[in-house]
Amino acid sequence: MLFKMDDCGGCKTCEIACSYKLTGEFNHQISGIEIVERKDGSGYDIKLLEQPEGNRLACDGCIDREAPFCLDYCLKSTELKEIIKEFVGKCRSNSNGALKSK
Amino acid sequence: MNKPEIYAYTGKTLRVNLTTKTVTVEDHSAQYDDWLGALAVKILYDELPDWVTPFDVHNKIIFSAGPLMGTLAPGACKMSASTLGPITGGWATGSTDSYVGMELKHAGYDHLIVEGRAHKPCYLWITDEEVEIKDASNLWGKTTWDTLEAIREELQDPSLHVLSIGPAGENLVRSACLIQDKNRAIGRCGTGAIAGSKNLKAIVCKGKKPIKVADHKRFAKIVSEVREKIKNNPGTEKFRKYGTLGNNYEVKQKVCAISYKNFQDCSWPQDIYEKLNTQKMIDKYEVAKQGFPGCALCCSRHVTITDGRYEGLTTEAQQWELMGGLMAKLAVEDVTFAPKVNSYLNQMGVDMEGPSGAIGWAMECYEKGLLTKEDTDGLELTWGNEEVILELIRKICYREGFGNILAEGCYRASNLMGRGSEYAFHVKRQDLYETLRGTNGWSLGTLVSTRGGGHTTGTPFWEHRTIEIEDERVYQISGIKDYNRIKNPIGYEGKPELIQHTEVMTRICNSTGVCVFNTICQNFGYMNIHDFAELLSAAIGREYTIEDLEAIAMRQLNMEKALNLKFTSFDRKDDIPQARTFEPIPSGSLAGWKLDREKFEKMLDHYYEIHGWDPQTSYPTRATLEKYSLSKVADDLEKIGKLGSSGIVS
Repeated sequence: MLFKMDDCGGCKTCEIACSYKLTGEFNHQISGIEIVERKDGSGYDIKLLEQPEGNRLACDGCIDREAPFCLDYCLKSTELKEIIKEFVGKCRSNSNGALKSK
Repeated sequence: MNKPEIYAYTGKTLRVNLTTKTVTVEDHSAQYDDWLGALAVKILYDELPDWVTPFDVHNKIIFSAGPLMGTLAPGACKMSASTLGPITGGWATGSTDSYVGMELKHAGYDHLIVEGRAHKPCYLWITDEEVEIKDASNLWGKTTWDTLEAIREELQDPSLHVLSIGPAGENLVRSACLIQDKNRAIGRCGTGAIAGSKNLKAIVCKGKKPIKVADHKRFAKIVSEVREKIKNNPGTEKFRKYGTLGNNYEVKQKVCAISYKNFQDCSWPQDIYEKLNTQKMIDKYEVAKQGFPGCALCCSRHVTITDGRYEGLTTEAQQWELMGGLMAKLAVEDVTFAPKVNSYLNQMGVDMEGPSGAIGWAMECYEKGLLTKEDTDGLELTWGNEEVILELIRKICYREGFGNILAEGCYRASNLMGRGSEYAFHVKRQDLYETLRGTNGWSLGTLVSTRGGGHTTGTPFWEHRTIEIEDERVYQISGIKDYNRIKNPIGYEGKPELIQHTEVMTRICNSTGVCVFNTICQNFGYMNIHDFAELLSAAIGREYTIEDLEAIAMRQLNMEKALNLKFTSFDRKDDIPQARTFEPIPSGSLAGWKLDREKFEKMLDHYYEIHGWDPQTSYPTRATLEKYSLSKVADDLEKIGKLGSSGIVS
């Protein structure tokens, strides 16, 4: 699912954090959150994966934690928190969502 | 016996010979303990024959991604490129905030050595599965921005990050740089010209090999601690909002660190200063933020100019250097020219200091009647003339007419024209942004820099923003004694020690892949050497002490010095500034103050002494080199008569 996040600076630190949380290693290309550059070159959007896609793992919303791990490393964590909350909600209502079984 | 698992590093170096089209993978990891990620200077020193010159096919360019890069360490996003440079003829290095460096590590390599010269334009496509030397004939001539789009299209991946050269690099403009994507430059020292001389248009990396750390819990703990420290620092909010365009706008003017009209004055006239308010510009035009992997600050942003001459321009806003450098040097009064000229420089792939130094020199010569329209292809080189500045940058990048002379930088341009050498402000032939009057530690640090000026290898930022802090606290976190006695920007005491501390910190940053802004180099409360020792120990799995890190940094510095001694004629005379630097400052807060020549020379003597270098010549002594396990270097320097004969080993 793609979410608009006007305040994202594209640093991808959330991707690095996500991979570390999921695997114990740093490997942003496999994270469940992906920062997507906008075509006009200004600003970024957030892609959260319901299911594994290519090398990437699914975002599980860090439901085992009080708050998603990536938020600890995002300078705009308030906005990102809302996005992940919306994502988790949609996943839970979607029969194919990775979070359905959890 | 199996080799033990390597942490933080990949343990691999990729070597690509463009002449023979051979690709080899090497293991230099046995040297990491002594050098961290700063192998480039050692490889260049060991491998370049004595007779090599920068544009020679035998020169090499080395890209490095340090051990912290790709991890959650704050600011661990700096990739560097190092070579024998076309401006100084010696040690040349630069770094940039980089996705490409992170991808190089994920592709499996700590370093990339590029040697030889391709028979036709090429680019490197490096993944964790293969390395391809791809044809770039269709990219040659393109700007860096168009190159990015063309490569993303060709490789059918819009998420790729690209390090490329523009027309300036192709045309061997000495200050040509490497641009990552659209707006991040490995700026100083002409690394883009060396890439151009090798017919290397771009480097693209993408990989998925993981980076591991040795001790998870320990690493996570120190990362969390340093990030909290940065987050809670009172200076962080403003830096995140305005980046280097925030505080610098006020403090540089206050301490006379503005290169106004080619360094004729050291601050802007008040009315112009007010027109150039960079904070107001950001408030008015910002459209999006910009940060880089791991950064705890994310200090940049994109702007869209919505009015005036450059209406419609969207680009990443520049760092302060463009304001204090080009905008001040050329006396431009419209603040929106900054993003305009910045985007053009980035598209053409040229460092802002090369053209602005040369144009500043030419404008002063024009003002004083040493150059006329007959010399300048009919252009009127009046201060602040934006169209003329843009046109001259274009001519420089394509080496057209008068631009062909300016493409050489101010030092060589004044020699070629046989006029105005007294107005050519450079350090070891490299054009400057840094002012050399009014902040004595900053000035000396710039002058002794092994790469020829620049402020990210040993110039203490602290003088520009002196703060109230107890001496004991400064000593605890930095080892600097008597901070409150030595912090006066126009004092002469303690500056060499301040510089040496910065030399250590910047080298630790550069060789681990960390941006200096996340560290004590910018703010006392940010990451210090104790934090680095803990981060590296946890990540690499080998205990690093403060003394270890200081020795590694000084080993690097002595090797840079030795590389310069091997390939250039630099000595003490090249660490001394132009005559104007000793003239009184005309206006501003330091009006009438002048740098005292005798005290400056004593300060320089002391700098050499604490480094264990001979004050007469600046050459390192054998004892100094042996202290850092560089005995062979001492033998080499003795053979060429460049071993120092006296000096106090620190």
